[in-house]
Amino acid sequence: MNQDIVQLITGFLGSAGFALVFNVRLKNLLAPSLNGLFTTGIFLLMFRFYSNYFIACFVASAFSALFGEVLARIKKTPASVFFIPGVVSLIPGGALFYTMSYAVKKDWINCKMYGFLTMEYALGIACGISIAWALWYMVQKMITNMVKGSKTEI
Amino acid sequence: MEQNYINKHTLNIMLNFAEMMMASGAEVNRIEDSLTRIGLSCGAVKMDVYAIASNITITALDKDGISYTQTRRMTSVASTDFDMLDKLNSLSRDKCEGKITFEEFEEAVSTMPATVDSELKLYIGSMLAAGAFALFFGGSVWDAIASFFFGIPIYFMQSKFRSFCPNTIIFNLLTAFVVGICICIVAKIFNLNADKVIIGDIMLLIPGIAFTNSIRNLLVGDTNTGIMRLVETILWAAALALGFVLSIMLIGV
Repeated sequence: MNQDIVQLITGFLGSAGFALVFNVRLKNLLAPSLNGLFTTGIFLLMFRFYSNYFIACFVASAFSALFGEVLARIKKTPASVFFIPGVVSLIPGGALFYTMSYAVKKDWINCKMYGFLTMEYALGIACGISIAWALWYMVQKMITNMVKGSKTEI
Repeated sequence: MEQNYINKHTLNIMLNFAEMMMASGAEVNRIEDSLTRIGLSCGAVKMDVYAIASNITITALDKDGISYTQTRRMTSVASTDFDMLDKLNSLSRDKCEGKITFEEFEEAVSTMPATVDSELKLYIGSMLAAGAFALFFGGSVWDAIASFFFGIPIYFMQSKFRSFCPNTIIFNLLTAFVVGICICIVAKIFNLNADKVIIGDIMLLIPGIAFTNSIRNLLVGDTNTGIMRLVETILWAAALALGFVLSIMLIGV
C-alpha cells in the first residue's frame, strides 16, 4: 500500500519532469502531470483486480489517450502534449534494463522472463492507445454526422 | 488575398515545414495529414503524401492537370519539442482556414525561432524525472537523490555532446558508460542500490516513447515507419544497457 502511494506521487512528478524535458509550456504543465497521476492510479487499481500487466497497461493507456484527446479539444493543443508525458510512467524502463543486463550476463532464463514482461507492457500500451483512438474517432464522426443531419432537417 | 497556385517553390516550403514537424516529434500520419490539407488550401486538386521516418515524398496535382513531385531525406535525430509542435500545428491550422496567405506562411516557417526559453527548464525536468522514477521502480530515498543529481550530466551530454556524435547507437553507448561509471563509484562510496539509480536515469535515455510509438505505427498501418523505429529503438536500448552493464562490470558493484 505504501509503495502504491509512493508510485502515485512519483508518477505525477515523473510526468511533470518529462513534460518539462519535452518543452511543454508552463501554463499547460499541470494537465500532463495529472494525467500521469491518474494513469498510474488506474494501472495500480487494474493490476490489483486482474494481476495481469497486459490488461492493466491496456486500460491505463486507453484512459491516458482519451484524457489527452479530450483536453486537446478544450485547450486547442495537439493531444500528444497531454498524452505522451502522462503515459511515461507505464513505460517498462526497469524491465527493459533487466532484460538487457541479463542478456549481457548470459542469464537467458531471466532475460527471457524480463523480455516477455517488456513486450507485455509495450503491447498493452500500444493496443490500449490504438483502440481508444479508433473508438474516439468513430464517436467523433457519429456526432458530426448527427449534427449535420439535424441541421439539414431544420 | 488567398493564393491559388502550386509550384516547385510551394512544395519546397511545405517540405521545410514537414521537416520541422518531424524534428519536433510529430507522428508520420499527422505530417501526411497536415501536408495534404495545406496543399489543398493552396489550390491543389489532389495531394499524395507519403511519409516514413527517413523520407517524405509529396506529389501535388494543380487545376491545370500538371503534377509536381518532390522528395526530402530526413536526417535529423527525432527529438520532442511540444512547444514547437504546438506552434507549427496552429500555423498549419491558420493556413488551412485561410487566415494567412502563403507568403505569411512561408515567412513564419523560415523565421520560426527556437522555442526553448531556458536550459534551466530542461535541466530541472531531467532531474525531476530521474529522481521520481528511481523511487517509482522501488529505489530508496537516497537512490532517488543520487538519481536526481545524475540527471544533470545526462542532460548535459544530451544537449552538448549529441551534436558531435551523429550516430545514436554510439552516443547512447558512450553516455551510458560514462554516467554508469560515475553512478557505480558514487553507489559504492555511499552504499546505494546502483541498479535502481541506473533505472531512474535510464528512463531519460531509454527510447520508451519511440518504442511504444513504433508498435502503435505497426498497429495503425504505418508498417515501414514502425519497423524502422522498432529496430532503431531495440538497438539503442541494447547500446544503453551494454554501456551501463560494462560500467558495472568494470567497477564491480
